[in-house]
Amino acid sequence: MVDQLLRGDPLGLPVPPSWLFGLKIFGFILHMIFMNLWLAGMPTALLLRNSQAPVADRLFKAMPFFMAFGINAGIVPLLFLQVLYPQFFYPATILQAWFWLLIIPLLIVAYYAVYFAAFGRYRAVAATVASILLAWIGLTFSSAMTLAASPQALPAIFLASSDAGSVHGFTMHLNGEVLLRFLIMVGISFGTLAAFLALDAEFFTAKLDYRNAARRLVAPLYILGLIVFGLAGLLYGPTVSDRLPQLLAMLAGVAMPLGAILSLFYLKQPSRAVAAALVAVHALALIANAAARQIVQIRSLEIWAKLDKLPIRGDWDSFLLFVVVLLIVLLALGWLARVALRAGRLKIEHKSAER
Amino acid sequence: MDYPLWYVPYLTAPLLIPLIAVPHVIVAQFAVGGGILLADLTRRAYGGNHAAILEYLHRLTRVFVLITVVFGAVTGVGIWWTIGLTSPETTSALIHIFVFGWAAEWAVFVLEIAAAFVFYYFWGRLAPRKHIIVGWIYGIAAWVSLVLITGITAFMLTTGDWAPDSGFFTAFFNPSFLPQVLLRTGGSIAIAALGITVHLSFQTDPALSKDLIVRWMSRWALAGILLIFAGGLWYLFVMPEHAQLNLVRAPILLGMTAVNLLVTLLVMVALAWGHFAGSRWITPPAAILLLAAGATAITTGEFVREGTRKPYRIDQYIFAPGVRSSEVKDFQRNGLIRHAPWLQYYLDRKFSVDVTLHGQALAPDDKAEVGKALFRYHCSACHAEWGYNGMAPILRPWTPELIRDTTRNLHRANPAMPPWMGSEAERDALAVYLARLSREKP
Repeated sequence: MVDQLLRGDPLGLPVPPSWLFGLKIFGFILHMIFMNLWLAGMPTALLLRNSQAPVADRLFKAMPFFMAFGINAGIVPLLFLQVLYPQFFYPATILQAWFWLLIIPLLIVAYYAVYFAAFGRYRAVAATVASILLAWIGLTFSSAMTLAASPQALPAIFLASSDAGSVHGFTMHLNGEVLLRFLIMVGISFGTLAAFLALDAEFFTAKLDYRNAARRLVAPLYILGLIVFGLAGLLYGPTVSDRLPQLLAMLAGVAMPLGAILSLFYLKQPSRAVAAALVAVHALALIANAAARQIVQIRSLEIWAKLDKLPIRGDWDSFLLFVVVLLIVLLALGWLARVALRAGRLKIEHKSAER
Repeated sequence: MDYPLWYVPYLTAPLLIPLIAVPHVIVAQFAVGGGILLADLTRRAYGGNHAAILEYLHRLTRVFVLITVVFGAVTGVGIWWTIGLTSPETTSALIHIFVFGWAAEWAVFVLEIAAAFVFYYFWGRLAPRKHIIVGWIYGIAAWVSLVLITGITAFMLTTGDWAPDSGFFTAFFNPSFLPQVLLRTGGSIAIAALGITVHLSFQTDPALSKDLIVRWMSRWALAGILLIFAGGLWYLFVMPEHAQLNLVRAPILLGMTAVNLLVTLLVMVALAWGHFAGSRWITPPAAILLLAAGATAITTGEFVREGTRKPYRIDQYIFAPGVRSSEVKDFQRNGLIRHAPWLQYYLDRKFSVDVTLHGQALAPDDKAEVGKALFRYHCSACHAEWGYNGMAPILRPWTPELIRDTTRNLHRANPAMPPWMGSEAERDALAVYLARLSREKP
């Protein structure tokens, strides 16, 4: 019955699905990096604002950048999701329309709260508001993505929330699976935050008090992340083991414990080499997790929609436009990064000379 | 009608779109024009070594970052959210046609944000030449972003030679693309100039040469207004026939067009006056009034653009209820319910008979219930039962016969309406429901 409710778009795909899928994973990894930093970074900065003020201050000030680039990068996977799976994505969000729409005003409030915290105004209140709202938004995303990958649940929710065949949109799909997927993301977020602090402390700062405080925090944060990730993963993993590629499951399972060992090593002997190793291992964990989520989604949905059966228009000229624009943008971003790094370095040297 | 329908009582779900889209368009255009103006004003301030103006521009950039990067960006995502919830067939079609245009716009927006951050946070730490280049990268990226999005929004009104098997560029370079680029570029510069004027009006630093800023800015703004007139006129000529008909037929659209023209003229006169009179006219009430006039011009312009598009969501391709024009005959032959899988699923469970086949034999109450469901799917893209475009008050003086006759020829009764896209039995059920609705009290 469910398959009769699900209709793909008759326009077909502009390019083969593997290209779209690759871009979707790329975008999701980019989004995950920044989203992890705000999801774990905001509550961490809030809780440490008195005991570890230099770290908290640095995180508060960096948060607007994480938000700007994280929200922006989040557009990419959603865009390609709607090309690949409109028949799953739209019903899953329409059935919980008000909660899905609520993301927008909540995000605006959270974003301005982040700026308040960054500018040092009403920091505790602003950071509390932002932390709660960002976590709620994350949970809503987990809910929508879980439902989009579980079309068998759609008809019952539709009937329960219908009046004259149209839905009121006040339903929210919350169950153990949603919660576990969200907790896996929370766990990995603390790992990402720890890896960021190690990277920042070793490569991008001249402030000794910040560097020392950050070095002490990397291991506890990473281990906290591993515990949450590990517990949630142990409960969630078996439910998707038939759809989870072995290699990715192994990578996702090994990378974070290895990262935790490196973080302990970093606590004993902090150095650029160990920080770089930690970042590399955690990047592996991130990529494995992002790819695993996408592959589980595709395998969960292939019962209802086989991507390789969809018509392909071969709209390569628009793809070329995107590639050309992307290259120009990357060149310009490279130039901007160089200009900013040089200006930053000049400032650091200037301060060192003053001292 | 491939998806479940979200019904918002009193408002209708699609009315949520302008609630988010109008503030977004105002802020987004403010960001685009602001990027260009900030780059040029900074260049002039560095050139003349105006320290006070540079200091002022630094403060102004902070306002831009706070308004555009946060509110502009999130409401932009918000439009996408809302159209996906309220018009999923249209959103899906646009995304399938323009996915790489949107992806390119994403890349350009990343550049816009990065440049805005470097421009603001490294103020005073970059050599003037480099700082100005960063400013121009910000301004140009914002404008390219506008151009890319305009290709998509213009397509919704004028699909031109596009057909479902056509390529991206046929859709992108549609007949109203260039007129809309001119219109929106001009609008962006003008609204940014008016926004900056409000900010400037609150400045009390005596060292700040407001006269100079106003003169620099009003040249840009006047050029922007000329672009608005050129683009607007061109736009009227390339509008599809049904859109032109909507414009002259619907008093509200005609009124909006008149208001749009009047406030644009008012702003033009004020800017021209400001150019010669300098900053004497820059008082907070006057500046706020002019900004409100500019925002009114954008709001009415968007309203007219959306209103004239009816009965289509995408010109010639998708009708407002989410039915592709190529499917209409099939809908009429075999019934709407058969083509709306979610509705059919609901009705099958509710009545446990195939209402498409046995609709005529249903009891009057059941028939009205089917009619209500049909109303939601066919009509609620533009009409609530009560509230926005509410059918109950509209139909109050109508007889059941008149309702029945009108539903037969919806598109003839009003060219902004689509033809009836269902079977005769379904139309009968709709008429029964509408007749009951007309007798209901709020």
